[in-house]
Amino acid sequence: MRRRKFIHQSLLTSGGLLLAANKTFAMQKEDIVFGQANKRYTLDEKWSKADVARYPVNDCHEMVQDSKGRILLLTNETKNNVLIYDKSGKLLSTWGTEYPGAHGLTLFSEGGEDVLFICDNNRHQVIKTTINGTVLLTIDYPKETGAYTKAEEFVPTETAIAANGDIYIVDGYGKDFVIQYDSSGKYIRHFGGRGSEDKHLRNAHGICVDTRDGDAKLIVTSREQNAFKRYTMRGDYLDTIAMPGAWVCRPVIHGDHLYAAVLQTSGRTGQQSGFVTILNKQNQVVSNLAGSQPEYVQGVLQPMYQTINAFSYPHDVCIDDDGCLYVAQWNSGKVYPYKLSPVA
Amino acid sequence: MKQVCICGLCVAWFWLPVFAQKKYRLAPPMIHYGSVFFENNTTVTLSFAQPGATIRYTTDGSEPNKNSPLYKAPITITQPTTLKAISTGKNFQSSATSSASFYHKGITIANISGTPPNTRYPGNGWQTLIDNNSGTQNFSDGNWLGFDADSVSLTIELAGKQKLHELMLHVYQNQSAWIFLPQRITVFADNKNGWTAIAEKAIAITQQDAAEIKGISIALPDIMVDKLQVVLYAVHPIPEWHQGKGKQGWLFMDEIKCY
Repeated sequence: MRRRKFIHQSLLTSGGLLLAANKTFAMQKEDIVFGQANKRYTLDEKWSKADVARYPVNDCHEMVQDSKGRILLLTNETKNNVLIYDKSGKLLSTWGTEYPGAHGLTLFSEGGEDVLFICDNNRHQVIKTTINGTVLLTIDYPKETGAYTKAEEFVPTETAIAANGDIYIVDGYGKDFVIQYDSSGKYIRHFGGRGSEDKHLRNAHGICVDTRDGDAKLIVTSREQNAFKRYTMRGDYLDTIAMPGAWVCRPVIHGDHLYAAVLQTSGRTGQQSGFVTILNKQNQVVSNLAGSQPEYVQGVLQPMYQTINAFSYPHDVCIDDDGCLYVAQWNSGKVYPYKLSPVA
Repeated sequence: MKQVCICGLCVAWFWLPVFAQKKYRLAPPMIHYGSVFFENNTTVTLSFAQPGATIRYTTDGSEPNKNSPLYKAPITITQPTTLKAISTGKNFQSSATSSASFYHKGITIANISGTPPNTRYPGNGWQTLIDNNSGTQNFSDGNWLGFDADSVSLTIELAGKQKLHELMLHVYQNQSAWIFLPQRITVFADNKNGWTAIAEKAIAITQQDAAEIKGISIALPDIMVDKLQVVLYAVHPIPEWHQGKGKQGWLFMDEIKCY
């Protein structure tokens, strides 16, 4: 009895000490796990190894991964509008000095070749380039719609390219139209725009093509309405995916999930209240990184909000072929993108 | 913070520096309510769906801390109150304070009109200021009247003569959106000789990063009135510490109350 008690006490002393140590020593930033369900991540704020003195950034607006696995970042810093990294954060090359309003960046594989579509808010144009920045096509403001009198009214924020090469541009800071062109830049139609019906948009900030359930559809952001809206490829309104509380930027589809940077929480505008949201194939929110646990009450999504101030104003999220996320931020002290790695 | 010696064998306690700067800061809790204006009572719910975090709050206007009452269930407000709340958690820095102030509905205002708001922020017309609906921090939510005039003059009509001791203007300030508090407010009462100034309040405009919804109270001499005129002066020029220095600021209001 005395021996058992002695062993018991020794175990308490060593094991218990370790437990006590665990209890009092709080977790560091790198150990914090963001998100819920099976979409959880740790965060690395120091992913970018770029030399800030030589390769500065201003607003980091958007990011894509190319067919070589490289991570491209678009910034409105005209010293180097495009920064090309490898996945470890090493800066490989930069280009671009003619994009003062660089905002949207979309990659398309055209006959096996990567091409880029850049939306420039200041130039009021969409520019198609090779992966190295050679200009292939420039699209000016859509006179053909009859809705614009001058270039300054057209402030394109994003593009999405259909499988057949058709270009869809959203005029997110202008008249909120979705304008469709063929691959050579010839106008086809326009839809969306401002108004009071469900099919209308307010701050059509982003767009993507969704092929997750077979048929291609368009998902368009209506950021001021805290929602995504779905349309057919011919512009017929389908339905709305409400994202209450979230100023969602552009929808990004990777595998079965839809990811979006949320610029800020609608109840806390101007307070660096952004986070990242992830939806499943049924377009239900399953995880908010640095945001509230998603909750549905009788099928209705409850207002979401930032819970951890890990991000200020996330503007875009890019998902690489390892399932890692990269978050580019606007107006956040000129920080480089952060990388998030999935946790099992 | 105490920690057992790393060797695990000796029980040597010593103080370690708090690793506050290596922890993320929590966002403040969300406060939910129908309106900040109530008749007899109102219920307030706080939420913060983050595992490992709890909500602490006060109702006496003091700043909450880790030892303040723990939020467990919706709170019933029965008198004018300022509720303040923070989120706290072992692995995080405590959040900034979120707060909401609640007010009585006050004396019924029969009619109100005056300088029109900017057409982008028309709210629900003049009813907006007397409908007892309170606006949120989203100033485009339809509950706010937004004015870009140099001064805003409003005529308030009560149902009959009342003895008033206070006027309250419920306004919004968000300096990063160029929305400021009024820098001066003058209140006039209607008497046989026209309008007589009965109260005035000057407000110091200081730099403030956080947006806030605020009730500005103006004490009135105990007089019997059935009609008041209130003039709010917008910040002009905007102080030099602001990116809009020299220009005129916006005024946002969602409600006026008479007590």
